[in-house]
Amino acid sequence: MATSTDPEDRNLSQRIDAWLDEDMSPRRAIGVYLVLGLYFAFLLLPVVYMVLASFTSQSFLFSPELVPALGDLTLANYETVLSRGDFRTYFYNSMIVATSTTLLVLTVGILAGYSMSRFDYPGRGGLLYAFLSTQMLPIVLILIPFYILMFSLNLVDSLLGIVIAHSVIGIPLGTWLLKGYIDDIPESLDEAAKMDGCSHLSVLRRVIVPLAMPGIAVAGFYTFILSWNDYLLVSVLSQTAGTRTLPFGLQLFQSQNAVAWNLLITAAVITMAPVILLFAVAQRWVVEGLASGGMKGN
Amino acid sequence: MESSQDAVAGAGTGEHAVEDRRARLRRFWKSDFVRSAPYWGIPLLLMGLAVYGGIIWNILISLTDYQGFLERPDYGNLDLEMYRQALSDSAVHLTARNTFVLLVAFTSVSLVLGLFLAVLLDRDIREKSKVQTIYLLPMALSFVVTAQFWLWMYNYNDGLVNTVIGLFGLGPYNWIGNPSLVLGAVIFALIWQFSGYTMVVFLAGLQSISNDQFEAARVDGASIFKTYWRVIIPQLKSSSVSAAVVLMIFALKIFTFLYAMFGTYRPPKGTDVLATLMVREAFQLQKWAYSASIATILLAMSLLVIAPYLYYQYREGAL
Repeated sequence: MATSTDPEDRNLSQRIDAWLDEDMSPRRAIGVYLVLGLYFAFLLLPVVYMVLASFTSQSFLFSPELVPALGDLTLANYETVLSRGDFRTYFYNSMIVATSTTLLVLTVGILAGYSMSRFDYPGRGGLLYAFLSTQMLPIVLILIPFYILMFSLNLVDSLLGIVIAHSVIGIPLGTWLLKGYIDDIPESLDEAAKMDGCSHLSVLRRVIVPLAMPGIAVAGFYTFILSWNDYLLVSVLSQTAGTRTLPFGLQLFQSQNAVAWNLLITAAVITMAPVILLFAVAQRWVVEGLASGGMKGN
Repeated sequence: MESSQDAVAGAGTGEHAVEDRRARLRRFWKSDFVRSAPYWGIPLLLMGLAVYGGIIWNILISLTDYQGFLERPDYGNLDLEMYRQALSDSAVHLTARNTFVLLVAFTSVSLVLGLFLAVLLDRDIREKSKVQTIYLLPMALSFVVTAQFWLWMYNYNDGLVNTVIGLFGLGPYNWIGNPSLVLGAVIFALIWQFSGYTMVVFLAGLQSISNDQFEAARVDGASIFKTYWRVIIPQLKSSSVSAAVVLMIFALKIFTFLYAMFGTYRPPKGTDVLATLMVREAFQLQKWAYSASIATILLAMSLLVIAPYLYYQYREGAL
């Protein structure tokens, strides 16, 4: 990023816009917008169509029309889906698991991120590498040992087991992200707090946590999504309906020979609703984090 | 320095030596290493045991011939028998090939598409941040949800895909039922989900390139296309590397998508990958050791992706 105070120094896109003004023919501009518009439609149409379909009856899904008539809209699908006790249980389980995982990962991640950012100890760099590489490995690699471990700890088929599994997957990324954000907080602030007699823990509580809030939001967002969306670990660790989570809720509306598409899609919309809500809340910081170089290293 | 002088000076009498050791111990206790240990100890322990311990344990299991239910693996008798079996198993060949095709096709198409769109977007469009955000949305959606609605979109009779290509007089195709189309259909769905992410990463890279270079190329009379092709895109190396690695990692995690799409550990042959084969052998047939050896093969493939990336990051001093 250019840092000069030259008034000419506008951002890159404006610069290029100005530069293109003279040789940007209307035809080419239309071409550019057309391509982007098509891509936009390609990305959003399936989601919009799905949400629309969840408010219509089964017959709309199998009619050749692409847009339902206003009079056909109904909440019947939502009533049917939400009236199923097992679906509601899955929903509560998902909420409990995702919330506990997020809290656990944030607590551990803030402590570990703080230590990596503020202390200097041998092996710190190696630790960072070790954390980052776990993020890249497919989870199936540790599925068998993990299952055997959980089995011997008697944690198979319990929500606690699922929370632990999700935390193990979530902690490295959470720590990594939080370390980046804590690095951005000037160390002089914690020095000042220590002068006033704060211990490490109260520096954390009074200085670091309030200032790292955007980072905490992003790490929390990623962790919640990871736990909410997980299917693999739950499919192995949960063996009865009492511990299933929402991704299994979709299966309730499928059987060998008949799929209730309208109910299935409604269940899918309910499953993705919290993610979209969280996304809307956290997106500002998420994009900021991505734009400043993906994962913040130093 | 001082401590070594102390040590030399105090070497004569035992009392001094003890005191010196105490001082060193006290210094050790006050060092950053010890004082910070409670903070990083927990995640290290969790991750070390679960992930790295898990990987080693997995390799160990793959050397036994553990199968069936509820008996312990016999670690006394380790050999490479499972790997011999795996390497001559045609299912392993097929799934390894599918994994590889998926990895390469998905990653390269997403990269090219993302780069193309980022260049277009970099050149114009207002309210950039809003656009970026929406492009990221599909990535946040669960594989379970996206798998379901793509299954529905690919529906032979009434799916949106066949409806849309029908407008152009094509199809209908049986996307899911036809073994030679299904892998392509899965890859297309994945591209839908992740190309927006690639675009945002490239866009961030493009925005960090100084305006002077555009000016300079313009003064030299280069066309827009040539400016991007010759000057700008070569500078996106680090964005490309990190985007490619993230995409490949997602491709290696494809299991959830396939499992959700087909509702079973056995997806159609055309799109069976190493991960589904491995989970099937383990949790359906209880062939633990055999599937652990398949997991090790998958680990080797993952390391082929990860190790060069980490080395690259390390050399660039990015960590």
